[in-house]
This record gives sequence, structure tokens and C-alpha cells, in this order.
Amino acid sequence: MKKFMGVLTILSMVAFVGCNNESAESDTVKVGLLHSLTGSMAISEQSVRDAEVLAISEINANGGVLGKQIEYIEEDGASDPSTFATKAEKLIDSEDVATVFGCWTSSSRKAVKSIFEDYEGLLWYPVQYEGMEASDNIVYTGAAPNQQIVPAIEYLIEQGYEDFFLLGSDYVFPRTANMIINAQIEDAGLNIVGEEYAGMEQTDFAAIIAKIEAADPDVIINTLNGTGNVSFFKQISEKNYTADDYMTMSFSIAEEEVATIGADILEDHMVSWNYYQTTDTVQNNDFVAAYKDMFGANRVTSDPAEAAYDAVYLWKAAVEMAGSFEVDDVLAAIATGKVSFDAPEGIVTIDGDTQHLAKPVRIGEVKNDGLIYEIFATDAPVEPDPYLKNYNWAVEAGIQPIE
Amino acid sequence: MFINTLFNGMSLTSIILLASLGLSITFGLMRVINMAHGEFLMIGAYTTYVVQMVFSKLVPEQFQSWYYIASIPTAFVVAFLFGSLLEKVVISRLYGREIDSLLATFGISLILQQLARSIFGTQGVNVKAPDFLFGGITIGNLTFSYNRLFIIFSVVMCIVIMWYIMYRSGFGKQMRAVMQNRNMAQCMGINSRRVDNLTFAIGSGIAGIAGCSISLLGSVDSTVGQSYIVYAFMVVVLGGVGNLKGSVIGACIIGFASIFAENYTSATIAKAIVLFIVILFLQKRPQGLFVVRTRELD
Amino acid sequence: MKKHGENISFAVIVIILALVPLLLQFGAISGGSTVIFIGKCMAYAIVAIGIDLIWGYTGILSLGHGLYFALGAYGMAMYLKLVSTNGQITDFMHIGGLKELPFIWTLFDNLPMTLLFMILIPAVVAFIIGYFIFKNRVKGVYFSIISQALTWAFYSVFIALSPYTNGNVGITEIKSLFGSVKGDANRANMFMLFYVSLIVLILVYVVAKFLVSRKFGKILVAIRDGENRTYFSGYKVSMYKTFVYVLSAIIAAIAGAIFVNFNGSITPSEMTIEASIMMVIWVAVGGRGTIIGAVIGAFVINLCEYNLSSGNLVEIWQYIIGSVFCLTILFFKGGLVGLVREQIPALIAKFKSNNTKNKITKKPTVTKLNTKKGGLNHG
Repeated sequence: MKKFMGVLTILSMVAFVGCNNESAESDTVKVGLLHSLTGSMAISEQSVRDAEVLAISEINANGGVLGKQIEYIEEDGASDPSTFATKAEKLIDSEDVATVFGCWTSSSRKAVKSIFEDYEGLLWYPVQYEGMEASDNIVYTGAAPNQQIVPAIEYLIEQGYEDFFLLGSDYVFPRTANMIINAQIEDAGLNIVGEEYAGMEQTDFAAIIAKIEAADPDVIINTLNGTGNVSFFKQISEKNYTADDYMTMSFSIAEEEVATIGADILEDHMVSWNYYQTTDTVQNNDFVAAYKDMFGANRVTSDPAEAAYDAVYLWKAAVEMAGSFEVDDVLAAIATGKVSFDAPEGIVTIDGDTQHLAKPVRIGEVKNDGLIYEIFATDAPVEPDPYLKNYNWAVEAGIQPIE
Repeated sequence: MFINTLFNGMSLTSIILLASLGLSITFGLMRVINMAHGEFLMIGAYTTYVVQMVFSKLVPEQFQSWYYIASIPTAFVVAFLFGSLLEKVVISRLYGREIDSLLATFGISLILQQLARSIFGTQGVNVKAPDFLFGGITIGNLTFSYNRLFIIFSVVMCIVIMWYIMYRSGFGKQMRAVMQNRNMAQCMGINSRRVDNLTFAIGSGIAGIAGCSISLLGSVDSTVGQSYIVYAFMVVVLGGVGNLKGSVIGACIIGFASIFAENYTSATIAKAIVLFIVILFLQKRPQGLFVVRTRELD
Repeated sequence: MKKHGENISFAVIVIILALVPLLLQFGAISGGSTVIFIGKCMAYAIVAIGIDLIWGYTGILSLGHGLYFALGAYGMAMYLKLVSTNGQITDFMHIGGLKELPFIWTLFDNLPMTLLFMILIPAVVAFIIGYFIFKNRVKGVYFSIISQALTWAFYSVFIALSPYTNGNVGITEIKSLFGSVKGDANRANMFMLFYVSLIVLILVYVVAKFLVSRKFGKILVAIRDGENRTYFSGYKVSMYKTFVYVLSAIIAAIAGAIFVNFNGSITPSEMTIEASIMMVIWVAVGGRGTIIGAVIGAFVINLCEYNLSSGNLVEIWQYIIGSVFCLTILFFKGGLVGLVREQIPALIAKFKSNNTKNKITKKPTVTKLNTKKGGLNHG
């Protein structure tokens, strides 16, 4: 048995090297990883890619999937949607991978969506997003709006915040998120005192900060992306503004971003996710330890990384339930609504209809050790509702896409 | 509100100016378009980060903030050395080939970005603003942050030093002589190769200092230079190549126009408006605001 | 031989390209996606020809051709999107609050109009820009930087007008003119699209070749090598420049339209400065000033990138591609074509004859590289 394990380890190491070992084909199953390793999105996508590699290596060390070792083929999306499309096509069609884990930005997901549909491939998308989508060929392991944005706003309303300022990048996620928030806040009879969008590469936020000062909101709903967050928070802290002056609720700041912005600047600001490094589960302790062990003690885990880690395990669960690597069979298994995984964030289950996860929602607060601590959590996992069909205010505002 | 806008405009101007000063002299003197200029900003920013790391290891708690003071000359020196090396290896072979220099340095910029990723990782690093730059002077309900004031101060210092070098020092005389007529300057015994190398290195060094400043304002990662490079080029072209006055006024136009436009519209539209204004303006005065007159036909 | 070498090489490329779908059919190429990618490369080759006309021949470096590429692509994509929504408004317009199809979209609701406006809009933009810029005698790097700013400005506009353009996401989920081209079931459509694109590539090549081999081409080269002398010889330099600029913009737009058919989506990232510079780099590496060089460069760089920018190679790939650009510009000004035409023959000659002769054979290349050194003494 020990010898067998040894052989497996060696095999998995061979798989890691990523070379096309044709002779071992029958013993391995190929999956694709498609993230930006260069360009402006590489900052964010690296951690997601790392979490996927971690999950794959763990699964391989424990005997693989259906007795096969996972061999991953990595492609660089280069932060360019067209490159994502080209590489996705290459992975599904030429490399013939069983499934693909990938993308971060909505623009890259939208660019590959029709490719996965046309080729009948399967994409696991690990990032929270704006919803209004449910492709048959994509499994969304990040939060839908009703698992992140909507509960966060509900929480703020409950806490008595009245004047909201919406700040986002000029991009599809912030624009859609703010559309939802507008409807929700209008329904609650509260005020939006401003709505501003920064350019994606914007580095100077002085004008926007001046607008915030003039509007004097209770809370800023922050949907900035990537480097915009760093610039905004560094520049708002210049004037010694803290969470007491302008509270923020952010949807794209996880532990990773806290590390680059600086914990002292973000202290006491709120974020909304499904998972934090501090989430107290046995699975999470193992996950955090394994992640740090593999990529360095100074690395932190984050919600997208955890969702990516879950994606690999959920795929494994679906494959094992289906007893096959074929996309149709895997999708059929997912459609039963019984594919679940005891994830670091708690038990997550794939909803058979929308292919989103039912997951717990956690509002967190950044503390000066750079970690995020839960201040509110739902009792049970929240069912996904990507089109917000179960929210009257959303239906009335007509924010669902046209049929 | 108006004063606040003015101040914000001034601070944006100073950042853009700082980012473009180096470019202005290298472009002006050597007619070399350095697409890797943004990466020199990046080098400056990462140097600041490294100095901060070194300080946090070696220096006692209470002097921690002084890392920033130390990082300014360090960033200058590091970027200076990189610039000197780049000039020797690549740029010196490209004199007289303006357009080629643009493409070759684009290749350099790809290499430097990847180098940063290989050394520091793909994720951004955190440069913490020193304590003494937190907060600001409050007058009425307006706050002028120390950080912005410091940036304005450093750009003024840079300009004064550059002005001194260019117009008051012996080296500056050589520099301008080479700029105006290379052959004649060589005939007068000026070592134009040395002048070129030093000029390029100084230009790069100033980009390093600019990198120091921008590290306090935003993300420090491998793509940081890309956000500034187009503005830097616009300033140089708008102001007219090869003179300080032009760059200062060019940066003022772009900086203030951006902030004012942003007051009335969204940031993305504001950017487009400013760019269109500059493009239109250059139709009227293709050589920029100030032209160094030569007898050259071209 | 030398005179026809270029055409022969192009014929070889065309034959290889024509064989690609057959190779797929007989199983020599695994997966239609490779063929689709080669289709995208044909689009890249077309835009490279346009850039070569304006840069390689006329000496005007445009760093904003991504703009025209994208304008053509958007035009085509709007039509294809309307096909898929049956002329109704799209999701993003709905989300953006539009109730009916905006005017600009109605221009693209049928194919003939689309083909017209897809070319006309970039042509008009290029004409307005080109006319004033060249009339005002903006040249060299000034023009490059302005063209860069222009594409950046349009990029911002496309992002800001998201109800009309869908912002960063762009127009996605569209099929090609011949229906879906993805997957084995749609191979006939794909072949159709592939051969039509190949024909367009041939046509563009022929037109470009025709232009540069006539007096017109000589004037372009004259403008590149001595603008003032050409001017003083009585030629309306600015008219020629404007014409070439508009022509290359049209070629770029055609390329964009082909690209979007293969790609199935278009985003503003095609308009970024980096994308535009890459296009110029294809031409530089292939060999500027020869139409064939542009074609070769576009294929070589993109195919290498397709195969090498993955897995463990990503990191190294950036170093490789960066140094290739740099070294090409520094030492092989003629690019790959120049390498084959001049440097390698020179090397062979060097080997053949003994050291007495090699200095003589080597000299032409050296002096050729230095011809522009005279420009060093600019003010």
C-alpha cells in the first residue's frame, strides 16, 4: 500500500510538471485552469489559481478522482477577454479537458460563456458576481447578489444607516450591483446621496473624495475593483478619515486586498462575503494550514480562493456521483441538487436549477491584524437567487433581464 | 469647494508632472521615446517597498517612519542605475531612430514587468504611508493633506534641482548644447555619449522619485507604471519637447482639466474629454506649447 | 526571383492556409479550435498589412490601430447581435434603461448597411483625424502619441456609454455570419467562414501589393525617406498620408469584422494601447516595408503566443517575447524577412568566401542599418 502511495505521489508530481505525458493518459484526467497570470488582473487571480492547484494536489495525494490523477493544464488569459475566449476554446477543444476552472472578471466570463455552451464544456467560476445569469455550462461557486450584496444592505438598514453613497469601478459588476442596491434602498425608503464610477485604471480619487465629502453619507457602498480599492483607501486615509467618519461596506475586498491596502487603513470597515480566513470550522483550519504550507506563511486565504478550492472538490463530488467525467453526466449529477461539499465556509450545495451554490452569508469587519472577523452571519446557507426573483422590490423595479 | 477643487487639481498636476519630468528630458534631449518609463516609476515604487522592509527589520520602532525619507534617494539611485544600464545596452544603439526606440523599449517594459512579478509576486505589495504624512492642515471645513502637500513640495524641489542642473550647471550647458546641435557640441569637445548616458539616467532617477510618491497613493504592483505612462507622454507632447516650462504648463492643463471635468461628469468621461481637448489643441500647435527653436527643417 | 519572391512566399502561405481545414477533416489537426485560431490570425495578418502600408512604407507609426480594428469589429458584432435578438433590444440596453434600440444600432440591422457603415465609420474617423493631423504636419512620434491618446479616449468613451456598448464586457454571445462555427456539428459553417476570410486576406494582399508596386508606392517610400524633398518636388504629401491612413484604417476595420466572426465576442480591450502596439510589433518582427513581412509576423507571433503562453512557460514567455521585440528592433531591422533576404545570405557569403571577402559582403547590411543615422543631428 505504501508503495502504491509512493507511486501516486510520483505520478502527481509528474502531473504537476504539466507535461503532456501521453503514455499515462489512461491514469490521468485533464482539467484546465484559465486565469490571468499577466496583465492587470493577475494581482487578483493568482490566489484563486493557487487555491485550485492546492485542491488538485490534495485530491491527487488522496487517490485522485475515480481512481485517476488530475493533471492540470494552465493557460494565461492575460487579463484580456479575447485571449480568454481563445484559450478556453483551446482547452476544451484541442486539449480535450474534462472541465475548466477559471475566470475572475465578468467580462472574461461573458467572453467564454458562449464558448462553453457551444462546445458543451463545463466552467467552474469561483468569484462573487452581479448575477442575472445562469448558464447550463457554468457552475458559479461564488456568491450571487442575494448571497452578498442584498444581505449586506439589509444588515446596514437594520443597523440604522440612512444615507448611502455608491462608489464603484466603471464596470459591469458595480453597475449591476448598484442597480440592485438602488432598488433595494428605494424600497426601504432611504436615500442614495451619490453614485460615482471610477475608471478602471484610475489612480487619483481626489475629485471623487471631494464629492463624497460634499454628499456626506452615512456609509459608502464600495464596489471598486482591483487597484482602484488601493488608491481609494490610501487617499481617503490621507485626510485621517477612518471608519468613524465614513463607514464603508465593500464587496471586493478580501484578506488579500487588505494586505495590499494596509490593515491600519481598513480597520473597522465592513465587508460582505461568505468566508473569511477566521471562519471557525475544522475544514477551514486545515485549508488555511495547507494553503500557507504550500504557498508561504505570509499568504492569506480569501473568499474567492476558498470558492475556487470548493469548485475543484465539488467537481470531484459531481464526477463521483455521476461515475463519469463526461460533461453531460456531470451536469446530470449536478441537476439532482445533491452535490455538496463540506467546505471551509460550511457545507455548500449546488442548486440543481441555477448551478449556483447555497452558501452562508457573513458580514465581517477588518481588524488591524489584517484579518476579517465575522460580525453577522446567517443561521443557515442562503439559497441562490441569481435573478432576484424572490424579492418583490427587485421584481417591481424590473431589474431582471428580458426573457 | 472651489478651493478644494483647486487644491486637488494642483495635487493631480504635481503627480502627473513628477511622472513626466524624467520623460521630458530624455525625450527632449535624446529624442528617445521610452515606453519603459512607466516601469521606472514601478522600480521607484518597489524600491520604496524594499526600503520599508529593511527598516522594519533593522531600525527601532520610533524611527520607522523615516524609511520614507531614506527611500527617496534610494529610489533615485536604483532607477538611475537601471536607467544608465538601459541606456548603455539598448538606447545608445537607437539614437536617431525615434520610432524604433519606442518599440524596443516596449519590449523592455514587458521584461521589467515580468521581472517585478518574478521577484515580488503577482500580488501587489503594501507601502505604508509614514506617520508624519497622515492627516493634514484643516482650514475651515477644508483639509489639505500632508501627503499631497509633500508631493507638491517634492515636485517643486525636483523642478528647482532640474532647473539648476539644466540651466545653471556646467553639465546642463553641455546637455543643452548636445540637444541643440549634437555635431557642433561634439566638435567643441563635449563627450556626447557621456552626456546622453547621464541625462537618461537622471531622467530615470526622477521617475524613481515619482515612483516613491505614487506608492503612497495607490497600488504597488507590476502594472503600476502603465496607469501613468500615457499622461506622461501627453504632458511632454503638449508642453513641447525638451523644456521644463512646457512640461509644467502641460501638466497643469491636464491636471486641472481632469479635476474640473470630473466635478461635472463621471471619471471615465472626464478622461475622454481631457484627451480630446489635448488632441484638438495639438492640431493647432503640433509642436506643443513651447518650441525649442532650431534651424533644422524637420 | 527576388522580384517575385514575395508573391511566391505569399502563395505558399495561402496554399498552407487553404489546406488547414482539409487537415482538420482528415484528422491531422486535433480540434476545430486550432482552425478557428488560425482564422483569427488571418484577421491579424490583414490588420498587419494595413499597418505595414502606413508604417513600413510611409513611415507613419500609428499606435492606435486597435481603434479601427475595434470599430469594424463592433459594427459587425452589432449586426450579429441583432440577428441573435431578432432586432430587439439587448439585455444590457434593458439594464442600462433603454426602452428601444438606439439610433446607432439601427444602422446595423441589415447586412448591406452593416458592411457599409462598418467601413464608413472608421474611414470617416480616420479621415477627420488624418486630414487635420497631416495638414498641420504633425509627424514622427508626435503622431504616434496622438494616435495613442485617441484610441485611449475612444476606449474610455466605449466604457462610459455602457447602455449602448455594454462597457467593458462588450458585445458577447454572437454567432458568425454563417451561423455557429463552434463544435464538430458546425464544421461546414466554419469552413465557409475560413475560406471567405482567406479570400479577403488574398484581396487585401493584392490591393496592397498593387498600390506599393505602382508609382503611388514609390511616393509613399519617398515620403518616408525624405518628406520635405517629396514636398518640394511638388507632391501633396498630406493628401497621400491621409489617403494611406484612411486606407489602413479601412483594412483594420475589415480585419476586425473578420476577427469578431471567429471570436464570437468583442470587448474594448482590443482598443487598448497595448493591443495596438502589439499589432505594430507583428509588423516589426515580420519585416516592415514588405507586405509579406506583415503577414508572416502576424502569424508567427500569434501562433507562438498561442502555443507558448501557457503552463510553466508563462513566466518565461514574457521574457522571451520582450527580448525578441527588443533584439529585432536593435539588430534585425528588416525583421524575419530581412533576416532571410539579407542577413542569412550575408552569412552564407561570409562562410563561402574567406575572410578577405566577408568585409565587403557584410558592409551593405551595416550601412543600410545606419542610413537613418543622419537624422541623429536633429535639433
